[in-house]
Amino acid sequence: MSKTHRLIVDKLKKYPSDVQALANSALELSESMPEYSVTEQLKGVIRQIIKEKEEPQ
Amino acid sequence: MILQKMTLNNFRQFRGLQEIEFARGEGGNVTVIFGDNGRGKTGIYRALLFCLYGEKRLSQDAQVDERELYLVNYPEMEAKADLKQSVEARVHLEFTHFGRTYQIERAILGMIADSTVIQEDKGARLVTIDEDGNSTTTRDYNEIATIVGGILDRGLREYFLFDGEKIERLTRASSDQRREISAGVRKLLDIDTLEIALRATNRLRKYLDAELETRATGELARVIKQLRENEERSLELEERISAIEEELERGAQEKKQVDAELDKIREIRDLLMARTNMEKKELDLESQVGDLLQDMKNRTGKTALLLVRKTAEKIFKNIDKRKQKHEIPSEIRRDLIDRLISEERCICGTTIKAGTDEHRNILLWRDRTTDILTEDSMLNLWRYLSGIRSHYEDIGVTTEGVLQKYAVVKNELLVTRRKLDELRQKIGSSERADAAKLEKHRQQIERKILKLETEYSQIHEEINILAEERDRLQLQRKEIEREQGIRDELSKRSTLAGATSNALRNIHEEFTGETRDMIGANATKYFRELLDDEGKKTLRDIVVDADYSIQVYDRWQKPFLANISAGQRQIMSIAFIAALAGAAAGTEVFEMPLFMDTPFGRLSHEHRRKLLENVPKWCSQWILLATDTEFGRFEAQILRGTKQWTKFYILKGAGAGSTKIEYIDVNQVNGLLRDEAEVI
Repeated sequence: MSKTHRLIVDKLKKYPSDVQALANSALELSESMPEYSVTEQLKGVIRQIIKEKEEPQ
Repeated sequence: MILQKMTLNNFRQFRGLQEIEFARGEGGNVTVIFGDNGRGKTGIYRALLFCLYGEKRLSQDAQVDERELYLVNYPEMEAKADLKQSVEARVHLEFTHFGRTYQIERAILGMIADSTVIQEDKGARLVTIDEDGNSTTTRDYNEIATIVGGILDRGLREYFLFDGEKIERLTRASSDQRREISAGVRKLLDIDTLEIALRATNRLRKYLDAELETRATGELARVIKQLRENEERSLELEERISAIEEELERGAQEKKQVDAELDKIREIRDLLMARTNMEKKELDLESQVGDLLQDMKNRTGKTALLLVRKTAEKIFKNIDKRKQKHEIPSEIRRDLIDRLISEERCICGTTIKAGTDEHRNILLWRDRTTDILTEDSMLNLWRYLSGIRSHYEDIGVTTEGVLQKYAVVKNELLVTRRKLDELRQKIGSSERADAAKLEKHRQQIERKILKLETEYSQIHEEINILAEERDRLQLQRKEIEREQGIRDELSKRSTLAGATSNALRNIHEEFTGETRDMIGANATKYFRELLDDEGKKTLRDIVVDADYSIQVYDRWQKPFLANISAGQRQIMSIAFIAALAGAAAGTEVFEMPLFMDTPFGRLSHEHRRKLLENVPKWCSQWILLATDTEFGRFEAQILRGTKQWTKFYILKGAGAGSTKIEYIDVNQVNGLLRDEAEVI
């Protein structure tokens, strides 16, 4: 993880966990993919996050 | 990164094997590389980038075809062309970085075949020696790039070269400046990834909102639609704002140009007035000359008398004498005497026979008389000469006076004509009588600028209104969803995407804001170190605004950039670039060599002194590239005073297209450097 990414992760801590999860996925994917591909991947990621949130603990 | 030594062999102008050892360490960290334009000062920096990164171009080569960039020494290739042999250009660099030693070299082959230059990479090698003396070697380009990139990222290399062009660009308050700074900050932060993530989540949100809009009904559908329209309109307005800013900038430039034209016309107006007056004077003088010539012509007769004055005087005296003797007019007229002789009889009636004494006396008498015509002429001449004799002096004085006056007026006429010619040359062929047109054009530009500024304010207001409306609509949407119990999966996804997009946007703004503040603070620190005492009284802070423009604030916290001098702008740029370099290096004292290529430009002595005294403290190594007009005895004296200057190299011409690097002891350089008096 780059220095900048670490700093961003640090700043994300004040946001809700689902926002953190989606943002982190977006950042990781963006290190190696172009914007359009990242968007397509995030469509699946966001479904998963919502599903996990809905599941009983 | 601390540079130790660079060896060049047939690289660019540097024909044959040549070496530079850089000043480093506690004993001194300043190297001066001195040479005329075109001798290869920037070539030293180019060699560094080639060796470290395999870079063949600098930013100044953006418009140059790479095939026309000869890294291999051209004269050497020419010498080997007939033998069809290639020439190897090699750069070898030794440097240290946090306890490790690195030796990197890179080579390129070149030859001239059929009048075409062919260049080919020959390879690279990196030897890394750790603190214990263990060494590893690699020839793999990617591995070398990774190791070197870890020491100094390729994207940041440009921040360690300050050249006159970069400094000049930053002094202009323009979109170029903002782009330069924006690019600098973004590179520093390495936020490409963040920006991709931000755009991707935003795109995701729009996609999910569009899906929701097609599926939602009633009030919710309406609100979602309004949100979409609000966003589209905001985007449109943001784009229009950017366009207006560029148009305003162009308008300001155009107005400046028109004002410059009008100033020229005002200058010409004065010249035109002067020309008209001079032409009137010319006519007047020509008239005077004409009158004087006529006067002289009129005096020719009298003046000519001055030429015959002596003879005239002699004649007058002769006639006068004869008058005194009563020879003129004669007592008896000659024709009467002739009659008496022919009648052989005297007036008294006595007969006069030839041969007698009386006859002889009468003959003598007759001889003394003249004929009446001659007598009359002589008497007239006598009268005339009597009349003018007393005027000789007057004629002389008056004629002299007229001649003198003629000479003076004629001279004045020549001077006037010369001045007139000079004026006519200054005015030139186009007399720009179109001041009225320019004024009208200027008014049009002003009206356009006013219109744009009004539109700008209106759009800003609309953007604020749209933002407020957006907040309201988003609250309304949440309320509707809550009331309708709509928490279906699509809606949740849309909400989450929106929240994540906002979070990343906020983080982006925080990051860039913090970096701008840090750069501003460091730039202010360097700026105040470089300012003279007068400057320090007025100028306080450098701030990088949200739109990436640089502003200087005075002691009353008012924007002051428009009022600072060209020299102050220059040191402001230098301070700013140093702050960027500091941010890139990540430390207060840059552990990177700082190359400055002819940075003195418009700097006063005091500012130069400050720069020379302070830069050695900012960085671990300073390599100053300078021409003879930039670096003279004054600068040498200041630098010696820092006790940090230990290396001096002069780049000398060594035949066409070749340069020789020569080391000179810093205490022996004065003879090579200009004195200030020589510049004047």
